[in-house]
Amino acid sequence: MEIPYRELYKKAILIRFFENRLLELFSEGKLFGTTHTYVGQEAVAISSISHLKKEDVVFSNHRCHGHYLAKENDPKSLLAEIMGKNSGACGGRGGSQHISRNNFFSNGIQGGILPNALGMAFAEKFRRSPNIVVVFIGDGTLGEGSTYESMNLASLWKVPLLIVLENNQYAQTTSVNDNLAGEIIDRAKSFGIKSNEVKTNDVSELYPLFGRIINNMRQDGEPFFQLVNTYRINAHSKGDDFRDKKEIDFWKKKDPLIYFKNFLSEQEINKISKDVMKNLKEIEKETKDTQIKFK
Amino acid sequence: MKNSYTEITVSSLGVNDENAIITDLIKKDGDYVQKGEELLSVETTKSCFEIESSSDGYVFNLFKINDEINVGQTICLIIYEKSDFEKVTNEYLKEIKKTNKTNEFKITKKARIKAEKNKISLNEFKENFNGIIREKDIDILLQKNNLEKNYLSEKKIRDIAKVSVVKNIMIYGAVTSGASLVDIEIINSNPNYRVSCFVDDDTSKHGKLFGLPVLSWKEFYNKKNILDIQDFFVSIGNGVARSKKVSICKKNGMSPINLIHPSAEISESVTLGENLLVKRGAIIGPNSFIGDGVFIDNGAVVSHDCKIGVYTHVAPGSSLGGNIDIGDFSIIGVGASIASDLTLGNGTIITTGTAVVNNFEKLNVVQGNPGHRIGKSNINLPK
Amino acid sequence: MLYVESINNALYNLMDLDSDVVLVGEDLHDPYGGAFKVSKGLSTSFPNQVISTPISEQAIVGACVGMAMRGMKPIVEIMFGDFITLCVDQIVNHATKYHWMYNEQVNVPLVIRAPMGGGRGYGPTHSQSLESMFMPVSGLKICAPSIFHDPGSLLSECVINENHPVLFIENKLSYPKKIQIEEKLNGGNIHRKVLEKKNNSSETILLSLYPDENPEIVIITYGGMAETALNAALDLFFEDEILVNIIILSVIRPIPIKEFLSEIKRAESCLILEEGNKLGGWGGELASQIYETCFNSLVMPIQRLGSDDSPIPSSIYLEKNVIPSKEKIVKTVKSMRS
Ligand SMILES: Cc1ncc(C[n+]2csc(CCOP(=O)(O)OP(=O)(O)O)c2C)c(N)n1
Repeated sequence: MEIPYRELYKKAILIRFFENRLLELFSEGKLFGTTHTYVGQEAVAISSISHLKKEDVVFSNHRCHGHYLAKENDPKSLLAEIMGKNSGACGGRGGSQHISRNNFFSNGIQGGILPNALGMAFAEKFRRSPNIVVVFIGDGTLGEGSTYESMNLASLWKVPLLIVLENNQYAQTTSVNDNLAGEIIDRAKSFGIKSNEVKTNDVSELYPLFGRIINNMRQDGEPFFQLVNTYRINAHSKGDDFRDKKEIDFWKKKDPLIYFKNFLSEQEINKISKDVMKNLKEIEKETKDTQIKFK
Repeated sequence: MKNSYTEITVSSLGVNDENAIITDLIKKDGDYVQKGEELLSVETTKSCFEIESSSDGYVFNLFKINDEINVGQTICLIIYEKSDFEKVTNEYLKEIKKTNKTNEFKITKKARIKAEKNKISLNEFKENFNGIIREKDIDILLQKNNLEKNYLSEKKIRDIAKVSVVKNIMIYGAVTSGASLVDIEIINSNPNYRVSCFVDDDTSKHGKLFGLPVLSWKEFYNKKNILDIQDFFVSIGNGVARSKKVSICKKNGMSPINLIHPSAEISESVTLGENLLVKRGAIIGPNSFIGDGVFIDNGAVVSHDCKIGVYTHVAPGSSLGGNIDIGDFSIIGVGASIASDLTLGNGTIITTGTAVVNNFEKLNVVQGNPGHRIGKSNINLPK
Repeated sequence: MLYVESINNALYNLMDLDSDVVLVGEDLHDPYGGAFKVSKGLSTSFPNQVISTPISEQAIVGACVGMAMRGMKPIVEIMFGDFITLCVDQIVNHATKYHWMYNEQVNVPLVIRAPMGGGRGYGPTHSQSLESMFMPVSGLKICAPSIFHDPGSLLSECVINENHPVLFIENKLSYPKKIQIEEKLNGGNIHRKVLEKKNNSSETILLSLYPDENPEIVIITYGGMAETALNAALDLFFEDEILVNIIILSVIRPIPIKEFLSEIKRAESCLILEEGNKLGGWGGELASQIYETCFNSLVMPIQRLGSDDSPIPSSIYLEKNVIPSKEKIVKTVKSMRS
């Protein structure tokens, strides 16, 4: 499978710049509310979502900016939304964790989105459409009962639902070891759902893997559970980080962006980064200046 | 009779069902069945089942196929002896008819007690308005009956006619007390009038009042020419009732008079209606308009440019400022004051001593100082 | 027609007309046909559209939210209304949020049917009327037809014309009862009038013995209590000639108060009656709205009746003391007159 590294890098660096800029804006007092950045996990979103068609559905959670940018590639509507502007993806009503555009949806309630994604997958199958639904959840969300009700039904109904579990090792401040008994993968297996586990941030591994999974799902229309063990480099939201510095440094060496150096020249990387940064700056300026209108 | 047959009933049917449909009559009328044999099939929303006979005997079905039946209802009879069959079924059907008939109209407890007391048979309600008889309906019937009952001998009426010398007046409403008590003095202060008789719908008042006869309307109507009475005054306190009586009298060719006490002061520019009663010491200022049937009581003051709607009662000592418009059928209570330039809707009730400083729409009860709405007036405005 | 038949027929017609209509819930399949037999026969006629599920109320409602967002017309049956508590997250944080928080980019045309109410001795966890819990949930419509409505046509209206979630409350005791939707009921004594509609799917009914006369008191109620109210009104009239009108709502949230304001003004005093807990109940909201809009038309404080602040006992004898009864209504109305 040919891997479009340039395209993937463009998306990855967009997510990275976008998220880090958000944190700066918060500290400058220009943003309100909360945000959960995707820094460190970019490889999962871009490797999976890049295989989807426009008609396929992505259902995401509180940490949704990466998924949104990967699917819609529209930082302007996202920034405006987070800044509370009318031109935001949801007119400022949703904010950071409640975004929708076309076939992308996100909601900030842990576990609640799984049944919704399940129902959407059911609808696709009911209408004999070739589309699939991808739902992203974190390791902490495995504590919610709705996860298991939904996995059971997905398996019984045999619907095209891809559950991507991003195990970033923490749920807010609680380590996965303190939250989860047994093996994560066994949970999907016990419902008879086809499943797979990887531990990598390398797009050259993740991109072909998701390509195969999604291709198969379009053939058999059945659910799939993919566990990706990764790491969130930034804090859970803003400044609420109590993790061991050494652990974070260890994972920084496995930053998904680093792997691109094996496939793109430094020149190329710098050029793409510069273009993306420039574009983001323009968007920020434009968005800041728009006036709020009340309906 | 009761012990010559068994009633077959449907017992509780299932979770959801209080009724069922008869889908088949397995046994026809007159068929012989043994205990435990199937009689008929019924269907509920949930299931179908057969109903069995609980004794030996001859079948009599009370329902047809597709009829709906309820839990606890008797659906067929099992008559033990063939010889009893006809007698039992006839009587049973008769009984059913009877119970259905008494259900035809319903009667309230109050109405039933009153009907019994007055020995009214419910059959008198042939065409009943709502299928319900209430106290009001009994009252109406009683009134009708009473009107017809009373009769005065012709001779007696002639005697009364002789007494009258000048214009003979009939007073409708044999009122002996209260605001609408007709002041004989007022009438007699006018040398042209003389009260000849009273008319009242209340039978208990028939007889004599102030030495004059009190008649029912029917009696009066039959004898009105003999009595030589062409003029009348309706003295009933209730404005709506008063207006009805005035129009009945007028329809029968009679003319209403006004009763105005000599001590009342009425400006020359005042327009007066008919069947007016203006009592002692009342004052009505210039350019006022007093509608038909209005009562202006002792010492009431109507300043100027006021309009008082028909059949309104202005009670003793009440004071009206200038340019006030009072609606029809209203009541201005004793000692009430009404500020100038206000408008009060039809059927307004101003309670005793109230000070009115705002406009009010129709049918309000107004009380206090400043007067505010405390409820809806019970005056039944004519349409 | 029985209340249960009306709903069953409506479901049949809905599925027949539109293959996107699905009925989802527990134990719906024939021969059982649902705990209250509402889905009887449907799985036989529409095997693809009747989906019996595991006991997973949250996932069922959540999945139907997803189906609705993709343009299907799902109808969920919650076996006993009490189990709605397990779906609260889906109703509050998902179904009713998406349309608004995604800035009206999506609709969630979902109908959740739930049988509520006591009177059958099912006890504390199977007899409640929990709909008032959802009064503050913005974006939710609650429809709770009585036997004086045609529940089937109201359900069809919700499924066909509503773009947003509807909680459709059915009354357990009403299922086996005949619906009474003629102009004159009870052998002609009772006049049934549909009050002027301000919204298509709402149907507010007025029952009166003498429609041209102003009643002494008007009872405002919905669902299973409607029949109890009528029985009380008949008792009050035939025993003491106290004239009581009854307003019966079908849509209880939002409250279509404009439809019956003039009836309250006509009576000048009202009693609000509901089967659910009086404390924190639906009637409190209604009373407040009445005070805000027509305080001056009332001649006495609004009175309310609802269940006592107690779980509902299983014993059918004890249950009667907790849930409003005909006798309690009669007593309350009489106390309002003295
Ligand atoms: C039902 C619910 N409970 C709690 C929260 C608060 N909360 C937001 S994110 C989060 C941690 C989620 O952890 P995980 O699922 O592992 O995702 P991650 O944040 O690691 O991406 C928590 C507890 C929530 N949003 N929803």
